[in-house]
Amino acid sequence: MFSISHAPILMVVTLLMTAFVVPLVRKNMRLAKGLFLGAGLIVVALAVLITLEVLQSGTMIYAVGEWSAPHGIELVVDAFAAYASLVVSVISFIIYWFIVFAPREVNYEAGYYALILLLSAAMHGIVMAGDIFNLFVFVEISSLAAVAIIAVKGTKESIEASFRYLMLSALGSGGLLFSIALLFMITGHLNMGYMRVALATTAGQYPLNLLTALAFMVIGLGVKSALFPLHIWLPDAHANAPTGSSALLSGLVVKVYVIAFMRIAYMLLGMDLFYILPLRQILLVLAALAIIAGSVFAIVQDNIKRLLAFSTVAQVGYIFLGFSLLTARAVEGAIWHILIHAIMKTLLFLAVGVVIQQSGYKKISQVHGLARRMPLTFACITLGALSMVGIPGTAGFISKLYLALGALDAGLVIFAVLILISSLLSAIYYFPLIITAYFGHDASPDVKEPSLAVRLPLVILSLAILFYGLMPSMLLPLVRQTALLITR
Amino acid sequence: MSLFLQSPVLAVIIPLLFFVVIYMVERRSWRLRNALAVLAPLASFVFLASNYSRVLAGERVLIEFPAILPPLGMSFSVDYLSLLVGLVVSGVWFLVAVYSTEYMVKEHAKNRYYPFSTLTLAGTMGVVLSGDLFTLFLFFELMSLSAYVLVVHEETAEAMRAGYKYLVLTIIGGLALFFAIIAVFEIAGTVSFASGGFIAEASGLAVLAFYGFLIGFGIKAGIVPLHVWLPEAHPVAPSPASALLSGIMLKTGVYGLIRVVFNVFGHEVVRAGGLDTVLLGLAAVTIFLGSAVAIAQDDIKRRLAYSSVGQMGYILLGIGLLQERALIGAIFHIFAHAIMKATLFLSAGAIIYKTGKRRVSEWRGLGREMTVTMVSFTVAALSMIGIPPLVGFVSKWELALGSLDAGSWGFVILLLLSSLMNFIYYFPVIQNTLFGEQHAAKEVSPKTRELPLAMLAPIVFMALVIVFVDLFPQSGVLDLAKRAAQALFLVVK
Repeated sequence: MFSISHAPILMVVTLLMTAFVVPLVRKNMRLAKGLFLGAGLIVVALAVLITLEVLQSGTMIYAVGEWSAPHGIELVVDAFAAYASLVVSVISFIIYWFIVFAPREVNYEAGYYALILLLSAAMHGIVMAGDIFNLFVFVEISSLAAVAIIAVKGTKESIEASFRYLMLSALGSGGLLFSIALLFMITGHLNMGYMRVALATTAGQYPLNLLTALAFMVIGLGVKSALFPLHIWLPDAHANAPTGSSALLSGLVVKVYVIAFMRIAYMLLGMDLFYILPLRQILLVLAALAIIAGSVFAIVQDNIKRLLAFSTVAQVGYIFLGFSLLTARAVEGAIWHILIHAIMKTLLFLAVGVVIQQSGYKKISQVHGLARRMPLTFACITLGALSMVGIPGTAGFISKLYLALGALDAGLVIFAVLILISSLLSAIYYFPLIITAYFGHDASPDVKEPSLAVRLPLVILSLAILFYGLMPSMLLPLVRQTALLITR
Repeated sequence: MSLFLQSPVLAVIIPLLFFVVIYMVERRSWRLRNALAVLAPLASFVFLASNYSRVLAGERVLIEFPAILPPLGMSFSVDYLSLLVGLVVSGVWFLVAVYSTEYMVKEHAKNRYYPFSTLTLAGTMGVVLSGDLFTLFLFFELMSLSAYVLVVHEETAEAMRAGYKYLVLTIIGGLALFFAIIAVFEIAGTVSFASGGFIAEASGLAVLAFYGFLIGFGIKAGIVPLHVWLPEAHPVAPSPASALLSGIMLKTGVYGLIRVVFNVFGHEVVRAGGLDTVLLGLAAVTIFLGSAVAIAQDDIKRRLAYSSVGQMGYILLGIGLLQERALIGAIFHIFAHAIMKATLFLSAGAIIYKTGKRRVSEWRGLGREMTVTMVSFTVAALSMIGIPPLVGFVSKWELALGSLDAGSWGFVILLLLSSLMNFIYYFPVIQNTLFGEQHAAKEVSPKTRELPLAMLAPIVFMALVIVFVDLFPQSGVLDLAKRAAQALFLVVK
């Protein structure tokens, strides 16, 4: 009965169905938690199966309901989609685990689980969609769910932040929809494969429409992926969300929109687009500004979660930088960074969340000597921070290495230097946290490490940082294939 | 797996493992902790020394792990230079570790000091035994970051400030190295050391890379004007750590430069690009300023730290002359300065340990109380000044001859001038302590006059090495330095 070809849609369906069921069984929280984790685990398994299949026999195309394109909906699972769903499924499962076992931060837990499952379903949908309108639908689902998992905390700040996020995100959706409409006007299709064929002949006839469409696309997805200067919603939103939501939003959600953008770009137009239009220059400049501005803002933060949020702005800049440098190694670096930043930022948000839950301290200036009370948590934070700085031996080094090499390949030494400067800035904003925690007078003795189940995800993510720092070869074929899709 | 069990790899991995083991056992037994901390450098020494005959037969021991971190890969290698420097590192580390078991008794946070000292050892050994730039970089960062913990050990406001400065400059240095390494990789497609170098010409990017290396290694070596962290960071650390920082860790900077000049760029390319002039200019400034500023310091540990800056200038001079004889002097000075500076810091530390006095002007007459310590101090100081037949003389002799061979007699005058300045800042210490009026005497209780054996033995041993190494040429240190210099100048094309 089961055929591997159904796996892509099963991922989305499993998550959507569980999102429905979990609130229904809210009387029995053990069952709800079990379902929540079970769904996450099934999706991880499916993602692994899909990845192996794609590596073995190339791109999978799945027609939903056997309605074939151009009228039916297609899921196009190429190497990039497989890689992205692997990253999304594994990292979000780790976050699910944390949410289930950490002390609760929200009142209506079953509802929270449902929202997170919806968000995950939408993320998988976005990275696999072969149909641009379908992609838009998933983008909408994920945007609304993302807003909701911030507001769910119920504090004044989180509601305010989520409202601001909602407004800007809605603007972004508007831009994206407008852009899709323009593209539909030009091509008469919504399936990206067909659009590509149509564009080959019609692009020259409607240059202005195409330009407008792309401008709105950049703005629409730029807002959602917090590309500087459209990032203004992010620091408040990510800093005021519950721990699990922050990790999910910073680690995965912003990057899924970058992935969506890249997929539209290469599936629709190929990377010539970056050269025909001044898109490459614009994105390079914006990415550079994001890296510098994000880091500079992060330096002045005392609130740890805000610091992490600003750091995300800078790191998204890295990913955009890699993609828009467009050399093979730079693109590989950007693809690595999607995974590696997901690992690092998830680790940092979870670990900092643990610190806040256990001690109540939210600011760097408060954590004096706390590392003695919570040695493991702070060891994980230290490792995450070292990786963020890009110390060799940690995963963060790998993406920096590839990005910098890619910048040199492109003959743009200045961007290699930019990456170095930004590493220095990361050191300047991450190290005070560590130094304050390890040295300085002793913290109150009643602060303790959290339970073993909460520490487990931190340890696993830390080990992943070390593992990918020294042995990145395991995922290398997949990254290579993904890069080839983009640079061919 | 068997690759991991080869002796050069073990010399690096054992301290790394011991770091973990010490961390696990230290809460249960401080004796075991101390024993392991002493054993780690000894094990490194033994494993490295086991390559002695192979290396002396002219072989370059090379172990590669291409699967780690593609496209760069990791590799370890032992040639004359790494054998000599590696033995100096692990040997001096062992002596300092023995000393620290007693010295640290009075200190706090010993459970942090020992593991991190061992981790720093792993990093340092890794730097010395790496077979390519990338592996070197990896361990360089490990060493630099773990040494931060040693620098800030006292946790005073002063130490934290010095430590922060150290940390920021370390990161900057690391990034400069990172840039240089990827630039080299971009140009040549490899980062493995090769005799005669593998950069074909001094192109724009290559020159940029060279400056990257110069900044990265220069910060670590304390080359003026990149030395600003050094005089603050070295004195605030506990004395054994100061000895390690000043005696050993600085050397990794110049070691890296030697590798870059001879095994990455090749001395011909360096000369063709006019980069040797940069090295020589920096060397001259470093020698002069380091020695001159040392004179003005009253705090003994600051004085010693500035003196280290000047001494690094000697080694840089030996590299920059691009001349075999001078390079022999530079390489020998890596050994000589490690021994001398470790002796000086350990004996100065011993005096601080006993009397709590850091100021040279307060040391009057201490020599009568702690004669053996002060005699060792004196031997090392005389050697720094360059009195024959002590080790410091040999390196200066070779350097001076090398300068003459290169036709740069100006450097000979500079060396003499620097010796004079060394004399000016060491001699008053010697005179004061050995022959000065004995007003400090009553503060040293008669029972605890001399040091405990664990502290005294390493100091005396090193003082003896300073005296006897040159009298017995069969000890082979100078021979090894010569062979290393010859090998570095060998161009295989």
